[in-house]
Amino acid sequence: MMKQRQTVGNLDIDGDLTYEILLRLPAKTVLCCGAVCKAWCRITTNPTFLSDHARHRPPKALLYNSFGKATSKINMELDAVSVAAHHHAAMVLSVGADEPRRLDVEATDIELFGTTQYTRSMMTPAALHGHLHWLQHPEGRLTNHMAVFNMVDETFKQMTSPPVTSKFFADLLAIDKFLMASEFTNLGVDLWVMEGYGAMDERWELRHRVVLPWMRGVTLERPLLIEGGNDGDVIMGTAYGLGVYNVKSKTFRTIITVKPPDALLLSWNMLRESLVPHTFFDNQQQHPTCLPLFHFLS
Amino acid sequence: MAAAAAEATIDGGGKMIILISADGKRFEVTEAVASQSQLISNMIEDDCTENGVRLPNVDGDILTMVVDYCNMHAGDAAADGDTTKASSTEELKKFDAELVQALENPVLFKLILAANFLNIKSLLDMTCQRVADMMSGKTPEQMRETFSIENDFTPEEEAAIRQENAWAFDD
Repeated sequence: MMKQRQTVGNLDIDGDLTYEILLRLPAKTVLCCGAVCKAWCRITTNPTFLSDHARHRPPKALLYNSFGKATSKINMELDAVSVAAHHHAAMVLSVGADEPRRLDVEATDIELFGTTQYTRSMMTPAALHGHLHWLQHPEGRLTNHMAVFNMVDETFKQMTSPPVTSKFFADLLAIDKFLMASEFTNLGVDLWVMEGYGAMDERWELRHRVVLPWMRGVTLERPLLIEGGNDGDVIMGTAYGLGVYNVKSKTFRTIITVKPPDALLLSWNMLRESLVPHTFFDNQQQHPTCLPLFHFLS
Repeated sequence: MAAAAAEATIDGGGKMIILISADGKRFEVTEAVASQSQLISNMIEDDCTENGVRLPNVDGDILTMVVDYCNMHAGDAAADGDTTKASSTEELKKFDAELVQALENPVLFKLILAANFLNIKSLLDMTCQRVADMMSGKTPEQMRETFSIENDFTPEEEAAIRQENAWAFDD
């Protein structure tokens, strides 16, 4: 017969469950929990816990507010906007090495390209089925193809691009185990889905036309944010709003909107809180002047 | 075993099983409802639910909640990808929110233990998240008070921990 646990009035439930609960706390509260008692401190300083915790944090978009432009200093205020109530483990690419390794790939000369235009697209490939996908990449070799990198073979190949009007307004996303391409249009966002990935008849199909329920700037230079979240969520942001479209339920949820002349300044990518120590900061301590000037207001 | 599984699929999991709480209360549920518990799902697979499933560490009042939850969420997984699901998803969210909002801490903890024992991942997720939401933004003193935890640090040890991440401790 199993012993009945006394749980009245305290969290005297076993360590596994305390772990489960602490896992779901914001980073700041986790640090506070480390000062509650020794048992909790052991959990909150455990490296496995820290990486688990980072994966559980909801993706956030950053809103920038700049002020004090008149002086030589620009002060930026950042607001983190949480866009998901439910969240699951995100994919983490782990290299397990301290040193960068040069891949045995013959690469196209990057200087052939106007790099600034490609920088963002190159930094955020869509990862799916063990491959990284870029809509615009030097390995597309000036053709209209996408570049695909096989992470096992460490080779590049090309793949048919989605039939978008302009790659400048388009992005690749890996959502719900599908490779998708988004394109900002006059009305909202079109989502193309690659059907039959890796098969002979792989093809792009236009599956979703999302009408954004807020005004789109006529002179908008570029969509601000589009990224795949969890469970079929696609996070979409422009100068006047931020929302989440779900490809399974085909519903749209607005997170925040503003009216002109106000406008949102959104981060390009979604971010997650993480308490995992990074060697970057250890290296910086030897050259404190190299630290970017961030001041955290909590 | 394969035959039993096929049968359950054909009649929509209509076969009934009995769950028996620590204080002897009996609950009759369909296999489909009960198998949201990984523990019971395994027992069904191993064909050992014939004489009812005894749950010696789950009280009747807690098991009532668990059964309500499972009844509400039965078919949840099967309907995944269904485009008509949006409205029922809203109903489920409302039901879930109401279930955990009203609970006093001791009951909530018992529900967490039950969800963990029965291995019902979604219920465990939801109840743990509820406790986490209550803890969010609390100071270490407030947490010790809420959960009746004794501070086993020496003042020096506690000061060192606070010093390390001082930003997290000022309000």
